[in-house]
Amino acid sequence: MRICVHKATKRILEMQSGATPGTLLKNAESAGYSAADIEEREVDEAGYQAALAADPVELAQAAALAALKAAREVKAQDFLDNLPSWAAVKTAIEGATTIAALRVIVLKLARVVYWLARDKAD
Amino acid sequence: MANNVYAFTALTGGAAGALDAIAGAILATGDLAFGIADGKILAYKFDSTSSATESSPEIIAPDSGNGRWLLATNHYKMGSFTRVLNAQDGNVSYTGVGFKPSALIIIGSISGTKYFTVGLTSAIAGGVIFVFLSDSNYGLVANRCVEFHSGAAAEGASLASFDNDGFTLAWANDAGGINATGSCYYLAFR
Repeated sequence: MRICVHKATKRILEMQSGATPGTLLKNAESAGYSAADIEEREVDEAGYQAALAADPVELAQAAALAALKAAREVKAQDFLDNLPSWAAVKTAIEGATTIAALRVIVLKLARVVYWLARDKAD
Repeated sequence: MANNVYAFTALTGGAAGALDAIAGAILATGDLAFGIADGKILAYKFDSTSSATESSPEIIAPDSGNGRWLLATNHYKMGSFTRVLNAQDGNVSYTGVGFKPSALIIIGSISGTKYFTVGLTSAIAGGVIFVFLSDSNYGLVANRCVEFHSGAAAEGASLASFDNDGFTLAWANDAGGINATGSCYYLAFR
């Protein structure tokens, strides 16, 4: 594959899997880039991944996705912690004989409802 | 100079009867080869100037010498490209297809997101179905073949031309486009 990179920012302007040499340079120049500011090169998959790892926009997007994934994992774990199974919930409610025990159950249920309503931890 | 015609019973491996066993030194641009391999009838044309990466069955490199056998009976080509989705509007050429297409299928997304676009185009008409990221509903646009849409901003493309070795897309953004890179796969039909 071939990629075209803006040298100063390391932003990947374009990737094409099978382009003939010079195609990406011509595309970038048509978009207003100066030939001196850009570089076209052929890379393998590892080289492409290395270029992505140096691209600031791709890095920011990867960080945002990682944060989103982490938040989803926290949400999933909160669900598991508070609603481990229907049997556990049923047993807890049927076995609750004090206000304190009921408060524990209500707090667990409220935790899950809060996640569902607001889609955030706090 | 008249071109030579060769026959083969295998594509690679270098054994007698294989296409790659024919020495590059005796081949000239325009030479033809016909044969059966993997149960298919295949035809190749030799290009002595090509140094393309060998990729059977599309591209076969002689085990000795220069040049490449290029599959002449290929009716489609799959490839990929990326697009910065807030780049300046304009035409972008995609090359290396190996023939002048007559139709395209393009699907795309932004990795790790719910952006999705699937579009078709011929020289006469095109259309795309895509997902609005804001509410995950589907949208559709006639005469475009790619559309990334956040709900508030978008970047899309229509066919500008089919070219001898690929195609050109006319990209345009709405409301400044999207600050991300879209990745697309295409299937080009001869």
